[in-house]
Amino acid sequence: MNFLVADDELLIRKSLVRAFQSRGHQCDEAQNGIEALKKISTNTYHAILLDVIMPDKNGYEVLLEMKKNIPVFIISAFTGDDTNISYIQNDPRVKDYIAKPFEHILEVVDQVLGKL
Amino acid sequence: MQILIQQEFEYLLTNNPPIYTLITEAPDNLLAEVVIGDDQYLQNIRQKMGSSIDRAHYILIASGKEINLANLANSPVPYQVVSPKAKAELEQSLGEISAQVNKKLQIDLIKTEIQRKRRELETLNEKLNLESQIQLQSLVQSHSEETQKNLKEKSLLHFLDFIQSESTTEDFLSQLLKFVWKDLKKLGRFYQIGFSLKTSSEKSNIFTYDGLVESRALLSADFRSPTVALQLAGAWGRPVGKIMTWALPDFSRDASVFIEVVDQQLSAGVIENYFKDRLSVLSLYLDRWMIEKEYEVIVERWNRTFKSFSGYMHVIDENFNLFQSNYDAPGGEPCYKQLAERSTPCPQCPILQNKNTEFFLKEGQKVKTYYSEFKYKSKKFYFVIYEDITQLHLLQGQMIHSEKMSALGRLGNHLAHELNNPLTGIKSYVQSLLEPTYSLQLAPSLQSDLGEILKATVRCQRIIKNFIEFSHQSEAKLEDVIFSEVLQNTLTLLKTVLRSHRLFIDIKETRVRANAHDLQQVLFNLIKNSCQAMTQPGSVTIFEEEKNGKIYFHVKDSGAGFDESILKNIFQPFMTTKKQGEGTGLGLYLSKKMMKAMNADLEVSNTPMGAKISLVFDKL
Repeated sequence: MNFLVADDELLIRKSLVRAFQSRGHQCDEAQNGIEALKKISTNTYHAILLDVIMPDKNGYEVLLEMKKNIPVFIISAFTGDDTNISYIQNDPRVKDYIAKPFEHILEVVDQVLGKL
Repeated sequence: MQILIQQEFEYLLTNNPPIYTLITEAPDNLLAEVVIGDDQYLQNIRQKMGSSIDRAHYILIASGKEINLANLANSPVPYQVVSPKAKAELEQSLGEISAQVNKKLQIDLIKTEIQRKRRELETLNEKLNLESQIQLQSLVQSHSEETQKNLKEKSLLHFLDFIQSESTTEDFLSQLLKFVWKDLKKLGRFYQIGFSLKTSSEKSNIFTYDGLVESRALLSADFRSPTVALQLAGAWGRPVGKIMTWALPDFSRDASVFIEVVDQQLSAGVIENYFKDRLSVLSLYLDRWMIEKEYEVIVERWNRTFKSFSGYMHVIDENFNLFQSNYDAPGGEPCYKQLAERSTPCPQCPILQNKNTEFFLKEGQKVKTYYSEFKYKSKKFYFVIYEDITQLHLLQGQMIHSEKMSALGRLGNHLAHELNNPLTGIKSYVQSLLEPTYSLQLAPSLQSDLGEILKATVRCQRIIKNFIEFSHQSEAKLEDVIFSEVLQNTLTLLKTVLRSHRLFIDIKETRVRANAHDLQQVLFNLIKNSCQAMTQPGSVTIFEEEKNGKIYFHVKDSGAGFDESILKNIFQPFMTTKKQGEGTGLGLYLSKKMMKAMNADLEVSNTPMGAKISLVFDKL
């Protein structure tokens, strides 16, 4: 399967790519919201891992503007203010929340794979 | 003496001078003392004269043979017998008779006199009786007047007695009304007695007693006005009898005594007199009683206010002697002994400082004082109030601390969350590398190093977590740890950092009370700092020292030492000498904080060799 991770932290992207690869999947990277939207429109993904705090369009904006019906996993620092946004809660594409900091990167990948 | 004699016997009486008056012819109403004659003559005379001549003496001239013994015995009057020849005997008899008659006359005279005298006596007696009756009457009258006066005086004395004994009791007014009621009842019928007292408003307090019920009401009624009965009728809602009032003289405010009369027969004069005699005494005592009562109420109110004040309050003189206090002050000791348990006045005493002060009265009790000075009988006194501001003081301290914490916490929180991002990245990446798919491609030493990186990142996250928790005021758990063990654990992480420097350790197996985890953070931070401070390969020395009951663990480097200018602020947050992006400036600040949380301390100093940071613990 093909995945997209949108996060401004390089190491997080790299670690997710490797982790997905070790599970036999592919994973694309996007540094910011704009790049994410571009890649979504041009490529096919089975799921998107979306960080909320990003420069150049954050996770909310990506979710709003994204037309495709692809499962979305929100990566959040769980400070409380990002999960209460109604359009995140009401968007049926949002399958789960992944809390930062991660305990183990492989657990994250398995969590995503489990929901699909 | 008059003698009626039979003519025939006249010759018997021849005397010169004539002593007797001889009558031969008897007039009709002759009063003779003696009748002389023979039997026949005597009887005739007796018949003629009747009983009027019964008193006379009868002398019968008869010889012995002619005496009729029977007549003699039966005669109603006694008579003598004289023979016709016995002239001398006759004279003798006459003399005797004459003497008798004289005597009789005298007796009669005396009798008359006696009678007269008796009559006189009687008259006198009567007069006397009359006199004494008059006397008695006037005596009785004056006695009754006396009695009246006595009764009046008694009543008055009784009244005064009552006033003097009852005027100090709680319910004097009530007793007074009842007493006067009882007194007045004896004088006549009336409905009720009352007392009115004008209050500060236009109304008056009216107290009444009608023999059964006492009542009290606040009404608008002017007892000095002639229309008071009408006013009362309006107030009481019933027709009102005649109101007699007496204003109390020299009373502290408008006050009157009054009675309501329904019986017109009541003697107004008597009642007037009753009150006239008593009004001034009544007024005096009643006024005093009222004032005392009011005074008591005021004093009571003041005392209650005084005592209810939650802080200390007292009146002292210049020598700190207590005159009044709202706290128990036995023994007459000065205020500084009672309140502050001192043997000398408090240095911060407001009366010494001449201003309101704030100070610690006792350990753990901070007060704010308010004082005022006053003179009484040319002596100086001070009234001081102590407001306990210990809580306020503590609270303020807490608040400042909280604010600092809050500001810092917010900042720290933000920072911590920011830090988590790259950390998570590192951790996740290393985790992904250690996944068997990749790790098998790595050399074992590299694998183990990666493992260490992972542990370090985990530790970092824990530091951050601790910081976040700490800024929410949670406490660190303390235990007895062996310092050298903690140090060894820390050094494993610093292999890379220490690679270019020499490490000297001189530590015993000393135990200290600490949080092992935090201690590790601190050591990690300090040693890393030391290493980073040395631009050229140098040495790090860690050694132990016992001084002043404390245990010191020194971390010394051979670097340039601390800049004197920053030494002062070295424990401040965000104080760093590292370039921007390297280091957060929180290391020493947090380290100090962590040490403090363990009841330990952190000190920095410069040595000729380099910088020295010391961890200070209490000796166990």
